[in-house]
Amino acid sequence: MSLSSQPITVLRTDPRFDIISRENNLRFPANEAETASRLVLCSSAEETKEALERIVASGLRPTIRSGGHCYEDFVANNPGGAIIDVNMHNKVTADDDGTNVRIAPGAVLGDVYRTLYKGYGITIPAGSCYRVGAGGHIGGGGYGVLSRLLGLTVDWLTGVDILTVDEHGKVVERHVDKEHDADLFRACRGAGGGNFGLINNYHFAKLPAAPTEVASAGISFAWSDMTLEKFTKILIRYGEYWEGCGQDPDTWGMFIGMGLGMRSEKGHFGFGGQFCNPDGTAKDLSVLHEFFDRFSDLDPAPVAPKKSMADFHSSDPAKHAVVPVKPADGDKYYTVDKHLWIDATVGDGGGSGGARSKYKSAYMKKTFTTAECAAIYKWLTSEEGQKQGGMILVNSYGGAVNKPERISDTAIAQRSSVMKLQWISSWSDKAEDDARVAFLNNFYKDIYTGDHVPPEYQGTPFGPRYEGCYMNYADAYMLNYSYWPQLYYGNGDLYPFLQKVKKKYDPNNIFHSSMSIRS
Amino acid sequence: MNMKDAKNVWSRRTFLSAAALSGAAAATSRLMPSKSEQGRISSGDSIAFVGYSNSVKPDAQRIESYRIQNGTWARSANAFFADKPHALAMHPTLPVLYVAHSTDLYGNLPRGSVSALRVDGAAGVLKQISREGLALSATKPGHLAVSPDGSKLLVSATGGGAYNLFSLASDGSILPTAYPIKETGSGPHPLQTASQPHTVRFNRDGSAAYGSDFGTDHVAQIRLSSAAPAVVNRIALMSGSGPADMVIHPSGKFLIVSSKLKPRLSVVRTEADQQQAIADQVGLDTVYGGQVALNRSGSRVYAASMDSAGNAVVATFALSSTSGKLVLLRKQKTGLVGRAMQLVQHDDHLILTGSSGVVSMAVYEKNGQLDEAKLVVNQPGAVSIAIHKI
Repeated sequence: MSLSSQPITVLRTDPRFDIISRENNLRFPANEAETASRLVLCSSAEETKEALERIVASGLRPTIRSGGHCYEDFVANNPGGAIIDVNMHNKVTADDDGTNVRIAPGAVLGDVYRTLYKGYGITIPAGSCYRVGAGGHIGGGGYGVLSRLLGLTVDWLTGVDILTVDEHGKVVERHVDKEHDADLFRACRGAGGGNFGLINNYHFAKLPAAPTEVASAGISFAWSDMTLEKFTKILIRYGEYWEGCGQDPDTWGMFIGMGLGMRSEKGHFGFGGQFCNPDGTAKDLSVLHEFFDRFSDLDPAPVAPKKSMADFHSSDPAKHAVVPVKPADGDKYYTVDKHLWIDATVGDGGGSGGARSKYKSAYMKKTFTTAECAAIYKWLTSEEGQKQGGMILVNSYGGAVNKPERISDTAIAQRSSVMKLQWISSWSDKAEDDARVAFLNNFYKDIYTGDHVPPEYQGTPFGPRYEGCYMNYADAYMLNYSYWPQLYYGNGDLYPFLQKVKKKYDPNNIFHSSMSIRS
Repeated sequence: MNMKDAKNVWSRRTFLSAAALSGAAAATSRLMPSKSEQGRISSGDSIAFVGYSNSVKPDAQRIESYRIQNGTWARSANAFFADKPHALAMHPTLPVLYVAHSTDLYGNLPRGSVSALRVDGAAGVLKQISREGLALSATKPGHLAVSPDGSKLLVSATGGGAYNLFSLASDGSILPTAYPIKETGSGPHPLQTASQPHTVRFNRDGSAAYGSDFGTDHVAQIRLSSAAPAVVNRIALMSGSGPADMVIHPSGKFLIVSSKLKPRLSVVRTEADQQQAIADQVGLDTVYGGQVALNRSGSRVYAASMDSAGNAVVATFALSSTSGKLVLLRKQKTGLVGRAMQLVQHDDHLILTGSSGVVSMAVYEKNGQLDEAKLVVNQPGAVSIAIHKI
C-alpha cells in the first residue's frame, strides 16, 4: 500500500538522511562532496514517474536504489543529485493460479521467495541474500542457489515496466517484452541496473515450482597440515567435477560454494551447499554423496550445519566461517541434513547491516590450473594476506544457465562457465580502505597472470579458460582494462547491441555510472 | 590612427608571404609590425596562451605561450603538453590559466577534465597546480569561465549535456568534485541529438551564469546564488540554429549569441520573459557560424563565421544599447581558411583562432571598425586562446 500519494523527499539536512541513505557497502559515498542532495522515496509506479520527471527537469542526476546492495558507488556517488529510493515500491503479485507474476523493484529477495512460495508454490532462481532488492539484482541477471537447476532469473523474465527519458527530456512509460521494444527488453535481461531507465515492475508469465526440500552437507580441510600439493588436488578435483559430472542434468540441483579464506593455524577452509533432485525433493542423494566422496582421501572433516543455505552463498564473509566438528564414531566425514526448501532459502531473514567492502568476480569454463592453485595458495598463506584478510568464494555454475539459446535473447553472455568466483573483503575502519582494496586487486591480478591467460588479457579472467566477470559483482578496478566491456558482456555482438539500445532509449545518458553502457 | 595608416600596417602581399612560412617561431619572428603600428599600440604587454589540438597527432596537443609586445607575437616559452586543450580561461586576479581537456575519458572514467596552470614569469611558463575530473558522463568539455570573484569555475561539457561547477581555492587550484547540472533535449538538425552545452559566461556579480546549448537551441540561465546551482530559465532561440559562442553586453542587459548551424546573431534580453527575450536576430549569410565578440564599449558586435568558399570572415555590427537592435556595417575576410574556432577581444585588437593559424585585427576604438587581419601565428590546429596581461 502506498504510504503517500506523493514521493517523499528527504533532504540532506533531514536527520533521517544519513540513516536512510546508508548503502550496504559503507565505503560509499567516498566523501561528503559525492553525496546526493536528496533521497526521493517512492512507493508506486506513479510516484517514480513523478519523481523522475521532476528530477530530470531540474537538471539533477537521478540514481536508482532498490535494496542498496550495489558493490560499487553507482548509486551513492551522486554529487548534489537525487537518489530515487524504490524500497517501498515492493509489491509482489500474481494471478490466482500463480501465473503473470509481477515483482516491483523494491521487493527484497527474501520477501519475494516467501510471497511466491506461500501464495503459489513457485520461485525465482535468484540470489540468496535476503535483503537484496529485486530491482538491481534481476536487472543484472539474477543468479543464485537454484540457477544450475532453473537457469538465471532473467531467463524466466517475460516483460518489464520501465521509465525511460526521451530525446526531449520527457519521461516515457514503457512495457517492454518480446513484441514491444524487444531490443530494450533484451537489454533489461542482464545488462545491469542503472543503464536504460527506472524499472517499475518485472513480469514473469510463468515461474517454476519451488523445491519442497533440500539436503545440505559440507566438509572442511585444516590449514594446519595443508600443503600446496594437497591444496592443488582439492581445487582441481573440485573444478573437475563441475567441468565433468556437473554437466549431467541429474546434478543440476546441487549448488556448492567453496570458501577460500586466509590461512590461520587453527583454521579450516572448505565447501558446502545444498542439493535437490530435479523433482524438487531430496529423496535420492546419490549425486550428493558421489560429490563429497571424491574428497575422501584428502583428510576432510565434517562441518557444523549452516542455519541457511544462504550462508554458503552470501557475500558476507562472516557467514562462510567453517566450523569443523568431530564426527561421531562410525559417521562419515560429513553429515547430511534435510531442510524444507523455504526454511533453507529464507533463513533467519537477517542481514549483516553493512560493512566497508570490496568485491571482484571471475567466470571459469574449466577447472583450476596448477599455476592458479599455486598463486592462490601463495596469497592465502602470505603474511600480507593474514593482515589484510579477504577470501575467494568459488561457486558452482552452469547447468540450466548454459543453454546457448539464452545468449541471443538475454544480455548475459556467459553461458559456458562451470564455476563463478567472487573475491570478497570486508572491514570496518575507513583508514584501511586503500590497503584492503589494493591487496584484493593485486591478489586477483596475480591469479590471472601467467601462461594460463593469453598475453593480451594478462591480469584478467579472459581467454579460452575464462568468461570474464559478472556485472552484479561490479568491480570498478576493471576499468583499468580497455576491454572491460568485453569482460562483462563478452566478445560477441552483445556490447555493440547494448550501446545501440543505450543511444536509442537514453539519448541524454540520464542513467549512468562509472561502468554503465557507453554509447 | 586612420584607415589610411591602417592600410600601411598590413597588406595582402605581406599576409600571404607570412602565411607561407612554416613553424610558429619563424612565422612570428617575421611578422614584425610596421613602425606606425608599434607606435600606435600603447597598452601593456601580454601573454597569449594558444591551445592546439590535433586528433591525428596526439603529441601535437599543447599550449603555446606567446609574448605580445607592441603588437608583435613571439613564442616565449616551451610548449606545455596538454590533452585536447579546447578551452582556456584566465583567473581574474591570479596568474592562473584554466584548461578544459576535451576528452571522453579521464582516470578511466567517462568524463573530461580541467586543470589549473600557474603562469610563472613574463615568459608565461606554465606549471600545473591541479587537475580534476568532471562529474561522470560530463565528457568533451568545450568551454569554461571563472567567476568575477575568482571563487568558481564553470565548465560546459559538450558530450555529456552537462554544466559542471567547481570551487577554486585561494591559490587558484581547482577543488575536487564538480557539482553537475544535467541538461536534456534535442533539436531538429541531425547534429542535435542531445543537449550540448557550448559556451558559459558569468554575469557581472557572479550571481548567475548563462550557458548556450548547441543541441537544444536554448540559452540556460543558471542561478548560482544559492547552495545548489540550478537552471532557472531556458530561453528558446531559433529551432535548428545551434547556439554556440555568446558574450554579455557590458550593461548586463543583453546576451549576444552566435549560432553555428543557421549562422546568425541573436540578441537576448537578460531580464525579460520568454515572449520578450529576443531583442533582435540577424542572419550572417554564411554557411557556418559560431564566434562572437564585442568591442570594449559594447557598441560593436563582431561575428566570425565561414563563408561558402571556406574562408573565415568577420562581420561587424552596430548594437543599440537601448533596443538591442543590430545593424550590419561591414564584412571582411580574415585570411584564415575554414571554421573560426575562437574570437576574443583584447585591448584594441580582435584575435581569431582557426585551423590555419591565429590572426589579429586592430580595432578602432572610435568607430569600432576593424583593420585588416594580420597573421600573428602561423601554426595549424589552434583551437583555444586566453590572454594574460602582465
